[in-house]
Amino acid sequence: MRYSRQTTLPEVGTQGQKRLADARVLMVGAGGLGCPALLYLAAAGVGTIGIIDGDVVDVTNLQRQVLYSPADVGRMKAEAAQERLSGLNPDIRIIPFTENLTPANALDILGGFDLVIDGTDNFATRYLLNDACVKLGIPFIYGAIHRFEGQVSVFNYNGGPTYRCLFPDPPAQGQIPNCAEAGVLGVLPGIIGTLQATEALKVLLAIGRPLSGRLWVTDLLTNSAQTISFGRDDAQVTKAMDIDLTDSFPTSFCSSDQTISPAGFVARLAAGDEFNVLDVREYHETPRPDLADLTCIPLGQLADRMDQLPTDRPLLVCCQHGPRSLQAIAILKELGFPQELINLKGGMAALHKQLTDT
Amino acid sequence: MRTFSVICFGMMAEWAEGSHQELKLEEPATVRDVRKAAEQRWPRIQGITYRVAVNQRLAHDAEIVLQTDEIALMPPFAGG
Repeated sequence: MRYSRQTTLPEVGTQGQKRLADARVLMVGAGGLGCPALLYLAAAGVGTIGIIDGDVVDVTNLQRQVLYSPADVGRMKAEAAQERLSGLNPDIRIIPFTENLTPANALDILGGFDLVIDGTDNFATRYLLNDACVKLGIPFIYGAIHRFEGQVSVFNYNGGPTYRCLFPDPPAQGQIPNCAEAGVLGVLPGIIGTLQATEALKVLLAIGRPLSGRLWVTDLLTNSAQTISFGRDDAQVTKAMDIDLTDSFPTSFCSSDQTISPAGFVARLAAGDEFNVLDVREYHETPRPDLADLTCIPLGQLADRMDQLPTDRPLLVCCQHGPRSLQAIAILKELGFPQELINLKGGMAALHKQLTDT
Repeated sequence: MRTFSVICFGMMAEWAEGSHQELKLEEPATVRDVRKAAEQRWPRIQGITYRVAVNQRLAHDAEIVLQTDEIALMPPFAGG
């Protein structure tokens, strides 16, 4: 009875419903894309749903991550999502993984599923996911967003192209901002995540024409959409097949030589170490922790204004969350900045939290 | 020099300050020439990862583009 509205469809039927009940789908990331996708997959009766996310619910998530309520703030997303979805459909099995996908756990975790949905918010995990899915022969439903625009495709499906066939190598850290930096209207991941769930159901039911070899791109501001076709690039598939997963996303993109956590920075200040601080955010960005010896130069102006930086102490470089400060360090290194450069992990957002929590 | 219409997606539109842009190219022009002209006009996109689509199909750098073609510059998106 529960599924009669969909089993009435000749494309689904009782056989299709059984396929869904037997299916094992892993949602990687229970955020903006993951929440709507999970809601519909659970409601439709996908029998086993894995949810991997090492993050906790933050109050700024609630505007788009519709599985969570204010009472969930601070809880592990994978567990909060499991609870909500079990209430929605008690007949299915939901497996939470309260950790991030890493090169060490990717093959083990992904290996237990037939289909993966990409709800990640960073390139490191997306390339790791692509390479692990190629190695294991698992199709994955790709979705990604930027401000009012979204992309959807189906990768590694029946010998079709992969993410690397579209974008062979990751962009350098800091080139492309994520939602926290760029902003996003909640309906966008709602639409993109729901479309990912649609493609997942098509693949599981083997109906219609999944978006394999085609990238669907939309812009909500103009309500326009394009479907861009592309082919498989065997060299990129071989690269994913052969790569050691620890190299899927070069670590030089993720960490600078010197990184310090907000707690570490506060501890070193307390110990009497002295730093100059460079904030490369735009002038309107907040929070603005009260720091001594602070210079503010937005990233775009840094190359022209490097001479304004003091060079008498090591320079702690900060942005909002971390990526731009890494780019700033790369720029300063290239220009031969004559001092030690240290990246503030988690940026001003994390430092502000550290300073207000203690 | 002839005028070619170019659609910019994602960050490309921000760096080009608008999604619908025009580039001047000598004919015959290739996708590589589109990239060169775009990077010259908007230096911010130099070194940025992006693909070029022509008539809603991913194109290689050596392909010829025509004035009537729909050319799109497409960076990857990070968010999720």
